Amino acid sequence: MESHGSGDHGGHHQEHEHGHDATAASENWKNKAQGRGYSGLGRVVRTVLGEGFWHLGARSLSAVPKVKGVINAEVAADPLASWAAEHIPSFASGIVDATTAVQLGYTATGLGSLALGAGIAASRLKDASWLEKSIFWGSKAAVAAAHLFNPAWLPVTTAISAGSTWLALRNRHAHATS
Amino acid sequence: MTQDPTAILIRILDIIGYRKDKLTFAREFIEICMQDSFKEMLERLPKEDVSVLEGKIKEAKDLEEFSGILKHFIPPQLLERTIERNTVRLFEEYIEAILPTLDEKTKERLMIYLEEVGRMTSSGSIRM
Repeated sequence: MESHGSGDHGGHHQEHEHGHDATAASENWKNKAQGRGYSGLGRVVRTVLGEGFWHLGARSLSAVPKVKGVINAEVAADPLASWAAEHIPSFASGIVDATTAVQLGYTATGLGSLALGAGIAASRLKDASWLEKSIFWGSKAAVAAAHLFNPAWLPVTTAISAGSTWLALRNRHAHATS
Repeated sequence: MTQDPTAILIRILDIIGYRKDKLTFAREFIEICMQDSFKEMLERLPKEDVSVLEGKIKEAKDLEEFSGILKHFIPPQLLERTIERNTVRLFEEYIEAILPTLDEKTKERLMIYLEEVGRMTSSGSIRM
């Protein structure tokens, strides 16, 4: 919790403190939420779920210079689309389309990271249960869609909007009555 | 045009002075919402669907095959409602968790932004 000392420390110190506390509180909340969601799942799938495609892929890209070189060589506009079309897993219903991704500004390295991450996850989840695999692939497909197509934002954005209204109202009411 | 929830979350993290990688946190937040929703829906599947799904999932090799199979068992509209419900819960829970760490000025800035986000649905746009 933040200490709102007066006088000596000044505004800058308080800002420094609240940023630190808010970061710690955010991380703490995230860890708890992930822990609840992962309950009942095996260790391997928990690890892979926590890392995500992007992180898995990004790690591999930095660890394998040869692959990175191939991707960097394809940064020029058109070759990127054809490279991505070959290497990115084509998500259900054409969720990931190389041309669309390029139009939306995804870099070759980003696309490569996503593709590699999916491949690595598939091999690591080989022995996971049907439920674990389903949660992993289902949520990843939904996140991939959310990152690439506007309609897939809708349930998340709608919910954040509704939650924001409620939180702001409740906070104002609490402030007015305190 | 529907707004990118990642951008909204990053703006919130900006306001509260979050010090780590904001994009990573925003993506992880959305992934938690998705994972909770898929887990909830899969655990509620009828037994007969589970045995069929189990067999098909064993054969699937990539994301395209997995998600194609899942779509047969999880109706999109029901999935959307589940994602909405879980996201509201997780978002409220997150904001409640950080509020005690904020000073009054930051809290006020956050509330002004949340009000703006709340108006977004009716106006169809939001300034980031």
